[in-house]
Amino acid sequence: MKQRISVGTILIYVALTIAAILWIFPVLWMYGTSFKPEKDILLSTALIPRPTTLAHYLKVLTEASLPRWFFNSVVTSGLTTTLVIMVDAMAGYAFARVKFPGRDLLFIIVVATLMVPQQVLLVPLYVHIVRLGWINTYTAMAFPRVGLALGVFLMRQFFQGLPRELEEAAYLDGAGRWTLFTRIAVPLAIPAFSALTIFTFLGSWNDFLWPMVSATRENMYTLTVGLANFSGSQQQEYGAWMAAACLASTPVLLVFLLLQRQFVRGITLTGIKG
Amino acid sequence: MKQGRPFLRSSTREAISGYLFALPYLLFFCMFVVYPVFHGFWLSLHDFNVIDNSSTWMGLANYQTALHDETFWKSLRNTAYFTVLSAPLLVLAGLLLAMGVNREFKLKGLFRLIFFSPHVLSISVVGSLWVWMLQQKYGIIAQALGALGWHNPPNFLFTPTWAMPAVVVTTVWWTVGFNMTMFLAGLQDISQTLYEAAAIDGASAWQQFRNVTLPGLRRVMLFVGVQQVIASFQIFGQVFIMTQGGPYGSTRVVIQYIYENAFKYFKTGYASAMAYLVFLVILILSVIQLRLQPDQGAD
Amino acid sequence: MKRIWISLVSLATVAAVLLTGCGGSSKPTASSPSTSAPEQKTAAAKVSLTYWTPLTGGDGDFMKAMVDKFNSSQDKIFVEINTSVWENYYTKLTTAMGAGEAPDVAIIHMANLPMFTTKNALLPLDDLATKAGFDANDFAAIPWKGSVADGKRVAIPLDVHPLIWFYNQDTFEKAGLIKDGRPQVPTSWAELMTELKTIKDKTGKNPMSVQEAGWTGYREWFSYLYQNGGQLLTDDMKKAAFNSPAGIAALKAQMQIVDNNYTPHGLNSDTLKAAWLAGDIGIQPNGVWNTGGYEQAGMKFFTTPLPQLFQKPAVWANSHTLTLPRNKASNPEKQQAAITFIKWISDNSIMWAKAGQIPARKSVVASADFKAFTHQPTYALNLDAVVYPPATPKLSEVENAIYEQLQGAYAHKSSPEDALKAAEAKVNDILSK
Repeated sequence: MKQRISVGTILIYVALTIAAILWIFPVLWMYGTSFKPEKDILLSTALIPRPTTLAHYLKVLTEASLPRWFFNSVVTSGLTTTLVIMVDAMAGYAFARVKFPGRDLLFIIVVATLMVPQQVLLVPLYVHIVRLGWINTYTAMAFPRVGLALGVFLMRQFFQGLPRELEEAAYLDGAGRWTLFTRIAVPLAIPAFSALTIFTFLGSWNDFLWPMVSATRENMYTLTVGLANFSGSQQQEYGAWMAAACLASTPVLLVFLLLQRQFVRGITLTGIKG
Repeated sequence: MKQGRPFLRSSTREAISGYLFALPYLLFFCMFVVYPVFHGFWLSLHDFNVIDNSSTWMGLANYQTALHDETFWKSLRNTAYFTVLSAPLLVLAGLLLAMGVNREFKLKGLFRLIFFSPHVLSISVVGSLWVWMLQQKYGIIAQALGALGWHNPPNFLFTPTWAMPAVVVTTVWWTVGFNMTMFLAGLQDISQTLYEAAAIDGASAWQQFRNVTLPGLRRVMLFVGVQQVIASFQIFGQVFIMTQGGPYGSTRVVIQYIYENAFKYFKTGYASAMAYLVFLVILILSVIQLRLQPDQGAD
Repeated sequence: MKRIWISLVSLATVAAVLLTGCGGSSKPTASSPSTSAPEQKTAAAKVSLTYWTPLTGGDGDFMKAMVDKFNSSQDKIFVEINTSVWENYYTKLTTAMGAGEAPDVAIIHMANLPMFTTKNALLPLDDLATKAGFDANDFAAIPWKGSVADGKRVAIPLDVHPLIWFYNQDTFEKAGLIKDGRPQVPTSWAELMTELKTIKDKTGKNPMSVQEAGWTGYREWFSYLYQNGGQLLTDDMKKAAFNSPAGIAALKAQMQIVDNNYTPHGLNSDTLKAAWLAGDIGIQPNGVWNTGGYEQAGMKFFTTPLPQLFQKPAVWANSHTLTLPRNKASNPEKQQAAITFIKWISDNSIMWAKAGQIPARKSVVASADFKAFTHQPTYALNLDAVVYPPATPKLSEVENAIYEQLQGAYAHKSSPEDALKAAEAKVNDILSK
């Protein structure tokens, strides 16, 4: 029997639509402003600018080193993510499957650091990096994140959940630990990998505090830091702010649109297991 | 001999391979997590200057100073104020949005996308966008308020009473998608049959919500709730980019104060001491979370 | 699979090792696109210098133009300029110093020199300066003397930038406050209030701005504090001295403007600029560095020094100075190049004056070119009245503490007396450590 849609349901859809409009509006406004001529930015409240201008984008591209910052973000986030995947997978596997003395205690210590807020590490890391002279290197910008415990925790939980029979069978066939890891465990862990990749990459890409503190030269800024610096230096240049923001956001939004499912899964996996 | 050996092979071999597997991570862990934790504590007991690496022993003086520092306490109060304003809002909004979206209708994916997408933007984008929208005269919010009859609204981000609420609104817009996603996952874990059974028993929508949804979401709600409180406590980016702790210190949250002391006044020792005090608070909150969390099943 | 893993690990290790050496090393990289500087990577004879400035206000463009001209006027030295937002500038500079990667030349505000000189972070310049031909007599006395620490010269002053008053020409004409083509300058506080009332009544515009959410409010209060015979700190700089009748009088004076709603409320740097350029403000106290920018925006305005409205003449001022921070890459050749660059900038500071700044070189201020400017000569007078913030390494913390309490008073969250009392307590606390 086909039910009539109740009033309640309609109300919910209406409320949802209003909320969605409110939510998407700022992003649309951001793009709209970036194409609006300077005068209209202050005087017109139209969402879609008429006429449009590319002046703000030109200004940003000539005055701010956006391509360079983009490159820095890619290298930093890429480096962090690659290292995290490799290193956390191996460690997670060891904690899950391999018996070695002190394993459980070590794991508890690692997990305990999940509760250490980033800010506690900030100042000593900063002092440390400065003393080593590592300021303005990709190493300094990327490596600290690799020490974080979340990925290891995730990998360990995941590997523990894998059925042992496959490995046992391979072992009886003469496989060594490394082969077990690479041939059996890793292929099964692809979903966890993709979640961890997305989560790590996004976290690194959008990271603000550490990249700001570890890079003093403009040509080493990541996109996030460079953008903040650029906006701060351009008083009242709203068009330029928005153009820069759009340039910084569009790649991420596009990737997000394409990989929605993985994003959501990544967040969920890390959240629920955490 | 490669056949017929027991699964538990030589324990030394096991141990070595275990250490080798864990070693790369542990190197990063020691260098970038463990060492800073101890080094930070060392810093908190000294007065250290970055320019010339000079350090003076302070003992617990930095901690004592912090506990007597009116600005430190004010920053804690500001942080609590932010948390009280934002955490319930974010949890509730996340739940409501999840419930609204958790229906089978064509645009479900689109709605989910819309509510989540701000989350993938960086704080600098979000910060500059909302500073522009909140601009006193030309910002779209001021214009909209003018259309609704409120002309000449205050300069929200730069008026002590309004600055924090403005930061809260920005934060809710930015991060509610995360909570919504958590709740969606939680809602989907609740078995449909429970709802069907309740419907057969004649339960109304509200009763279904109370007796099926809420209990089913209990674990997720606890998780989201405590996570939200802990995350709210660590807020920094929005304040740094939008208000720098002002005006009149009304948005100076504790992390902002730590940052100022370390990077503006170069009192790295003092900043570290405060960071450890904050660490203590967060530790307590995290332990509460662990205690409240029902068992996740044997490992 | 095993091979893939191994190759990935090795690749990452190699990459990491390479990248550790990569990134911004102490050699200035040509990869930071500076829009106008020609890339002259000629032979080894060329010395490359890095030059950091906090000039992101209207005057930044003028400094860039000077650097470009220097670079194109000779081929022995190439200067790469790097500008950061003022709020982050000293953090960056300090970080770089700690890492041994400070720039070859850095602008440091005179009031902030102690922070660095107490840590021996700057190269003494006495010999270099003498050899380069700097003439002490040609420099404004206060900043020249003020760039010395422990008897050694550590900086060359570039300019003096006091607070001045900007007058909106249209508003003043409409209010009938123009005489002989110049605005009527009040000679007492009572006169000012009368003028402001006239502006309000005749034009409806905001007669005068008090920047409640920006530093100009503090700097104005600072000026009035000294005009009332007070001072910020005790002479030994160990205690606060501003919680005095002078300080309270200064704050109460500002509050008159706030309470009469003669100023828009909650102005930060962004909204103050917007309001000024939109013609909404009659008199705007602000720094001289805005002059060039306002001219470029096509505004019609007058300028005068901050008038004496109380017992003594006094006006807040600071100076940009050029310094040679110590760093790992420093060597006599670079130092020589750096001082040559600084000398050139100083000699050519008429270009800097275009931004609205008052050069520290007396001969430049006395020159015909300077006198030909519209606004600059009107306020490059009476530099004896300038008051610099006290030279304590804790200045930043002290001023931030006072600034915050002033904000509370402006927002009516505390009375002027309570605000200054709270500020005094905080400042004494800061200075006692």
